[in-house]
Amino acid sequence: MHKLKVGIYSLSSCEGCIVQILNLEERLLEVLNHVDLVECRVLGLKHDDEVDVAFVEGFVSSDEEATKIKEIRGRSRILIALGDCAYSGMRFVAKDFGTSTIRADPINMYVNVDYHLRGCPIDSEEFLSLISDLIHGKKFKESSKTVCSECILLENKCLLDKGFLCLGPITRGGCNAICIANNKGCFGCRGLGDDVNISAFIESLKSKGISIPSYLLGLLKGPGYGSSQNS
Amino acid sequence: MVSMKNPYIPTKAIITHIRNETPDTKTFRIRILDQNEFSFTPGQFIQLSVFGFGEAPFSIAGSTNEKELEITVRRIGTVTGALFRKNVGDIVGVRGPFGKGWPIGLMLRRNILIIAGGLGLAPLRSLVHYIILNREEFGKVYLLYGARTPADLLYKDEFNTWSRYIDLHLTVDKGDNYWKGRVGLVTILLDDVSVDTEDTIALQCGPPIMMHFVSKKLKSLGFPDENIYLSLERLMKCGMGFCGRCTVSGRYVCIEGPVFCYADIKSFIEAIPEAGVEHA
Amino acid sequence: MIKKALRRIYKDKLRLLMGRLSEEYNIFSPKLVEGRIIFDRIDDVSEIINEYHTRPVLPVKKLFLPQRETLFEYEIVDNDVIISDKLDLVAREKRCIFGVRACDIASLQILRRFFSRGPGDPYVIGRLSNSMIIGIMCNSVFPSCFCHFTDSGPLPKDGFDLFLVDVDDYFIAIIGSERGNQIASKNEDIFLDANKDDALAIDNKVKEIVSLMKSPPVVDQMVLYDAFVRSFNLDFWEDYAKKCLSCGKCNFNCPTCYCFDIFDEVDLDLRKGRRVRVWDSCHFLSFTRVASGEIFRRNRSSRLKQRVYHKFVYSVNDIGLISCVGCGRCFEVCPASIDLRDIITKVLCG
Ligand SMILES: Cc1cc2nc3c(=O)[nH]c(=O)nc-3n(C[C@H](O)[C@H](O)[C@H](O)COP(=O)(O)OP(=O)(O)OC[C@H]3O[C@@H](n4cnc5c(N)ncnc54)[C@H](O)[C@@H]3O)c2cc1C
Ligand code: SF4
Ligand code: SF4
Ligand code: SF4
Ligand code: SF4
Ligand code: SF4
Ligand code: FES
Repeated sequence: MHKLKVGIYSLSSCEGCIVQILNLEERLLEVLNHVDLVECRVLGLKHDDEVDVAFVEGFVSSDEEATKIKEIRGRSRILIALGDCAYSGMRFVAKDFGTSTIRADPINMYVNVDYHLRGCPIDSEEFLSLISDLIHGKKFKESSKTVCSECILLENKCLLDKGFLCLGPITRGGCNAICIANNKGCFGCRGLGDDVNISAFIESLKSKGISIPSYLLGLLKGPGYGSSQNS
Repeated sequence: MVSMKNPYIPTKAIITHIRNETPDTKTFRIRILDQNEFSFTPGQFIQLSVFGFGEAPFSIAGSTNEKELEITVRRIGTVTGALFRKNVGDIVGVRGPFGKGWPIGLMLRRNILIIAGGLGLAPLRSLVHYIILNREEFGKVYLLYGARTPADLLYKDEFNTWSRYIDLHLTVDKGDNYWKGRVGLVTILLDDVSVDTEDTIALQCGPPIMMHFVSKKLKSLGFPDENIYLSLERLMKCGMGFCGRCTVSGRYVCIEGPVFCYADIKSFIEAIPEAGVEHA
Repeated sequence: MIKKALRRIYKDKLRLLMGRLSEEYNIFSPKLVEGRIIFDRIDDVSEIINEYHTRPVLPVKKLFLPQRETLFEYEIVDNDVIISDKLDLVAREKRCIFGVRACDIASLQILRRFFSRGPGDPYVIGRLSNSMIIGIMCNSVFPSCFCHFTDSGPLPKDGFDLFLVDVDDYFIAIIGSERGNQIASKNEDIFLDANKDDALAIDNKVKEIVSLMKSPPVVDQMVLYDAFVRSFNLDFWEDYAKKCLSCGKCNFNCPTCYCFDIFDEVDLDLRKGRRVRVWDSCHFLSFTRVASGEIFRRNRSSRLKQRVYHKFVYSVNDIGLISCVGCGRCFEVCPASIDLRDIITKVLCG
């Protein structure tokens, strides 16, 4: 079988998604038996030629990066956006910057994206199943569960019942409710689930007396929240 | 208890022949290993495993008197995509047959009106073969078949043979330069035949929206609900009434269907879109 | 008054009994794990929780139909496939499940009836036949309990080997099966004779628990069935659907929801693979999505109704039993607080 040529590229990011991939350790080595990793800055690999699969992390913060992402798209057969930065331009992490006005464009503003891996950072298991699907010629299917349903499988006590904010009921699963398992509320980094009911969610928070930060309320009520779904 | 057979485990089978039907559809002939026979009723389905990719339900499209079984498959996703990469001699897995097929007992000595849309002809092909093999057991038989384009018509090379035994009518949604036949949805073919609505059993299989309009039309022609049968497609994982995915108003399509009598399901909104109100 | 045979077990003898049973059976019990009470395998009888008032989040169902289960494994070699069944592992394990409440016991009876249909599901049925059930009567109720309404608790009718009722410093042990009877006779030093007042004590305790429950007024189950059938097209369903978040929690922690998905997992070599099943939820849009893209329950109300009607109507048509055991777990965890008792009351009034 022809080995897939794979490149991993970074725009403006914290490199957290790449760390998730490197953390796979032996299992990453196993993947590397089946693909040719030809380009990856942190590993000092440079290629500048055509690839089968390009993984891109980070958002576009300058014209140079806009040119760069177009150039990468031009020489890759399949382009995959890694993480929340790349497909939503840090919509959620933006809260740390307060009202900062830095440019943070998702890459799909500039190029077509074939798949995206959700999350901030991405889930390494999901990365593995995407790679495996690409190697085997399967269509990658992301989780159609909600974070809540994954949370109850872990038999966690619900944070909402304890009066804390958690976006689990409206957020797409696939992370195995990792934040809640670590006692943090879900902050929605994986975007919306299949068929969420945002107004009912806001109502249920109100009835539980849980306040919603205004930036989040704006996001939830605003247009385009959770767009850029995998087709 | 301990000796209970595991119905989730497929039997190994070998692909013995592959025929291209249309650009995205192929017919696979499959022989089940260690099994000399494969008996089924037309309208039943199997669960086919492509190891490494999963399992999916397919109607049995071949003849009841053959030792091997045939399925006609459209490439659409994971399992079908992997099956299309298989060659003659490759191993797959089969469970089944499952479900209830066409009501052959009821159809004997009556006229039969078969209406098929697109891939819906697959489970009706095994019935057509059955009828041809036992032709004297049935009255007049009509087959009305519609596809998107002439290139999408399945089993074209069998049409001549079929026409010698049954009354075959074709239509396409969109013709091409060579197409001289009818153009339009399959319902228009109902205007071309005059059937005795009292003594004819109507059987249909096709996209939900087609079955919706065909059922309406049959009703307006005077067909009693009891004489209309249709085959439903639902998501099916187990095929045995356990996974709960295929239910329509609490009925298990995999065991009670896929063929249902219109009289039994006409009230389920889920069964045929827009067809009235769902009942408990 | 209870007709089954009764014994007495003094509380300080319970661990002794479980210790003896653990020589023959793998013991499962509610257990404290990282601050949560969950049903789990216990290695030492000292892990058995003395606090009978806590109920695990996920019902006992998970020990019979696990969240995730490998149905079989296979290896693709040259042009052949070697399939290895994992069923013998299920058949071989002898288990004793301790601390099961009446509602969960009733749910096992429903799962048994359901998974015995047709060819039978050998995994679920295998585990049910290999598991000894030692139930325990609730000493108090949760705010969501209404098992009296569904006629499934707090005292189970059947489906257990032993059922313990907590009275002062002893349990009254109800013998529910031949297997339970054998355990009692093999351990005569632990199973003492019951007092003639013990049956009455059980009765009183049941009355006391029932009086604590917030349960809709009990009606005949056929009346309930008919009321549901009549209510299918009423407007109030839309009001509930407007509140529902389609999160699926209510399915996953319902003791009688059994729906599942099946898929293959394979290693990168495409050599070794396994077929896996995992729980699924009818509240998800993907539940009815077929390959052509059609989704048969697109409306949120149709999905909510699927769940509720399955419990009270479809299940009766299918296995002759309602499949709600009144545990209230579905609304205990519902972020939208959709209380099934409200729905039932509306349906009965409607
Ligand atoms: C009784 C019965 C008889 C049938 N007979 C035939 C037959 O004779 N011939 C035939 O070709 N087919 C038949 N079918 C349909 C056939 O079973 C499906 O086409 C098959 O299951 C597709 O499997 P797959 O793995 O290839 O596709 P999948 O990979 O499962 O999916 C196919 C498509 O569905 C969509 N999809 C699935 N899951 C998701 C998701 N989570 N998110 C978004 N989109 C999703 C995608 O668009 C995808 O391309 C029958 C079905 C039934 C129930
Ligand atoms: S903690 Fe969050 S994810 Fe978990 S059940 Fe509650 S709302 Fe859902
Ligand atoms: S429907 Fe709700 S109350 Fe009934 S058994 Fe399921 S979780 Fe318990
Ligand atoms: S259909 Fe829904 S309510 Fe019924 S068992 Fe399945 S998940 Fe539970
Ligand atoms: S519903 Fe409540 S009171 Fe009834 S058996 Fe279950 S836990 Fe006990
Ligand atoms: S738990 Fe509540 S909100 Fe979630 S799907 Fe069930 S009814 Fe809807
Ligand atoms: S296919 Fe599993 S219940 Fe019908």
